[in-house]
Amino acid sequence: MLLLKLIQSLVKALNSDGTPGQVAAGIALGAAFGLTPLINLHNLILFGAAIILTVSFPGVLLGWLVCTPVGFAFDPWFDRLGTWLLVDLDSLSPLWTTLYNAPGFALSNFNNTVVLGSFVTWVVAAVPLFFAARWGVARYRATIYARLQSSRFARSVAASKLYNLYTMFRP
Amino acid sequence: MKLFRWRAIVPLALFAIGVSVAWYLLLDRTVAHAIERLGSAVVGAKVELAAADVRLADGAVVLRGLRVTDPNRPMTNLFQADELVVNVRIAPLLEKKVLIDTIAARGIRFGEPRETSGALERTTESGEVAHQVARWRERIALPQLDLASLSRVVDVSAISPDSLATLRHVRSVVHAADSSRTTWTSRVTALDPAPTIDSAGALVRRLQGTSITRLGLSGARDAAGSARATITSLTRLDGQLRGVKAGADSGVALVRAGIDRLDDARAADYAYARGLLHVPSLDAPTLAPALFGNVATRQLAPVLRWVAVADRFMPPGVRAKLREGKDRPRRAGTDVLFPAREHLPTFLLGLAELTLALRDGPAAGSYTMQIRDLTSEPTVLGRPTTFDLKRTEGAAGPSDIRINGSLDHVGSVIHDSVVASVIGIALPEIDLAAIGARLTLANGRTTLALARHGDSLDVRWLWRTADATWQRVGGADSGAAGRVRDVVWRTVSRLRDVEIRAGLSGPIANPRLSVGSNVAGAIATALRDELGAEVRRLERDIRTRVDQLVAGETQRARGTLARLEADVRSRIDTPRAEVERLKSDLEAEVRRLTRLPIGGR
Repeated sequence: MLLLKLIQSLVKALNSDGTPGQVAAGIALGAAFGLTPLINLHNLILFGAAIILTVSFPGVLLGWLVCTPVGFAFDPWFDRLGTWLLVDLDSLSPLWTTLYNAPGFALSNFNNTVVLGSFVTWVVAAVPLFFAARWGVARYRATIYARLQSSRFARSVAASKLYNLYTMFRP
Repeated sequence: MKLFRWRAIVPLALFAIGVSVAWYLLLDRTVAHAIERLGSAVVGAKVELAAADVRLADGAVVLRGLRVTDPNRPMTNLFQADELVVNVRIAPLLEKKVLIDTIAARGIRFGEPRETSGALERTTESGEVAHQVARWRERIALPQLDLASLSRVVDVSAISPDSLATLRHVRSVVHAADSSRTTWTSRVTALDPAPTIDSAGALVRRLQGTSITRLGLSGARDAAGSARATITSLTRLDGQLRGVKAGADSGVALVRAGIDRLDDARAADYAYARGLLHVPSLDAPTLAPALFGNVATRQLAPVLRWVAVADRFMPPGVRAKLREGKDRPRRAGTDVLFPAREHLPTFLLGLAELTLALRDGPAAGSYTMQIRDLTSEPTVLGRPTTFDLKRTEGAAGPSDIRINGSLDHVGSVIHDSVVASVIGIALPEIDLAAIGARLTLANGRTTLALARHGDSLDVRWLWRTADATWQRVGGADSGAAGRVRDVVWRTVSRLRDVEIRAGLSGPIANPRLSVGSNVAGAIATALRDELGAEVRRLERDIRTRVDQLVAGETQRARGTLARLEADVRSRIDTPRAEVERLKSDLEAEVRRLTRLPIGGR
């Protein structure tokens, strides 16, 4: 049932909820939850942003879902990138020292190699990901959506109770 | 299009409240887990906490049921406390820094047995330290003591030539000589000084048989010019030969130094052969490590371990420090700490004043303990860590206990000093199977003095008692072996005053162990009196056998050196002397040829 609701929300997000830009922004935000270790301060802030901004919330879930295995797979690479930034790059050392000793900032775990490496990767990837997702959603709606709309599966998803709850978060 | 979803403000607020409530509810558990994780990393064994109660409003954390495993004895707790009340400063927590103002403790106990092992399943930084100390213990070669060998026929043919250090040393010396010879002879061959020398010799002979008057002024000028050119080429050749000579001389010096060390190698072979054939040395400095070496390393290894732990977790300087990240489903990564001089250290225990009351046990009594300025970044704090423990009232056991010290890791050079003294403590029993006895030290005094300067360590540990008792163990031997054991037993069983000393000195990475005891001295004297002739015969047999095995090779090494020196003389020194002579002759001829004849005008 839960899976069905999830699929329903994802399909709706791709199909009609919000503009392709809103869905793409949701995917780009949601990628942070998948790429970076979840229980961290920056993800709490991004989650708040996902709620308050008119981005597609199912898009956030989609970005999270897709990027989680990517995050696990790229952890060794994130670790190396974070080590390079935190340890090897001497020129950044004063910045890290200032942040580390600044109240509140240390709680973000930025000084962990995997957290910093994955966060920087997400920051760099977010904009290209947004544009790629926006193009992809627009193409999808123009080609596949029309055929899916008339299918029996799509009609059953649309009839789900989750739809009522979901409308609350519609962009 | 609107940017904000204003109707989601309420769900967002509810989410924020939910997160705050969850954080508050999980705070105690999170703190307990963090203490267990960090404590285990520092101690190198399990640190367990039954519960933590964080009272943010009071700036206090109450820790209940703290159990710290002894890393050297996983089935025993190093100490445990029923309750610790820790006063922390709240503001630094926003920087993930723990600044503890005071600690009060209740129900502290030491050395309590554990129901389960407190060994860690995975290696922590302290675990690595423990492995280093274990490797140090393995590297220490303690001499063996086998009294039975003093009374039996020793088969010296068991000494294998392949196992002797002298022969290995000779091979390396010969190899060094061959290598040196190959290098400089190839350079001499490339120089090929003979044609230059022969040509110069011919010129000298020709000039010496010619007078200026016959040559005429022009001929004399040409002859002098030719002589000067030859002098120049001889000077160049001499410089080149001097360079070759320097290399050859350093090779000869290397080989000579190797030859000089042959006696040391042979002394090591004597000791090795004695050990191989279980023939004990009757020198007290050798007997003491054989008797008490294991006890000494067991006592001193924890000291070495805690010194290394202090080194790792209280490093001097303000460099970035790397720590393993916390466990999570994703890769843990590495936490990089960036201390800075003008900021707070990551961890600081300002003052802990503990009053301990041990109601029962062998050391029951009241104690006061004070720890000041214990920090993870001493350079940032700028003050050394000091600690002091003393007994204020004794109900049982020791009459006096005092431990104090200072760990000064503020500057770039570490200065540590610790002095511990326990008087009236029940010292342990020591099994001395090698001499068929068990030593009960009973009440006595133990002291430990540690001084560290930079990477150099000096540790002195002492056990002393005036109430030692001895118990004979093992079956009685018959014949000569029994006589040896009887001699030893009669000697030690009279000893009431026993002193055992152990020390570590030298670099922390590999300190040298020294062990001494009056017991060893007494046994050595008694055995020399009783069995001196037999021991000397055994030692003579061993020396003869070793000498036989190494004599030929030693001679070969000395011959190699002699040949090398002779080669240097014949192929470098002799040509150089010839060059010098020819240069001198040619210069004389040049002077003669360029001098105007008197009245010749």
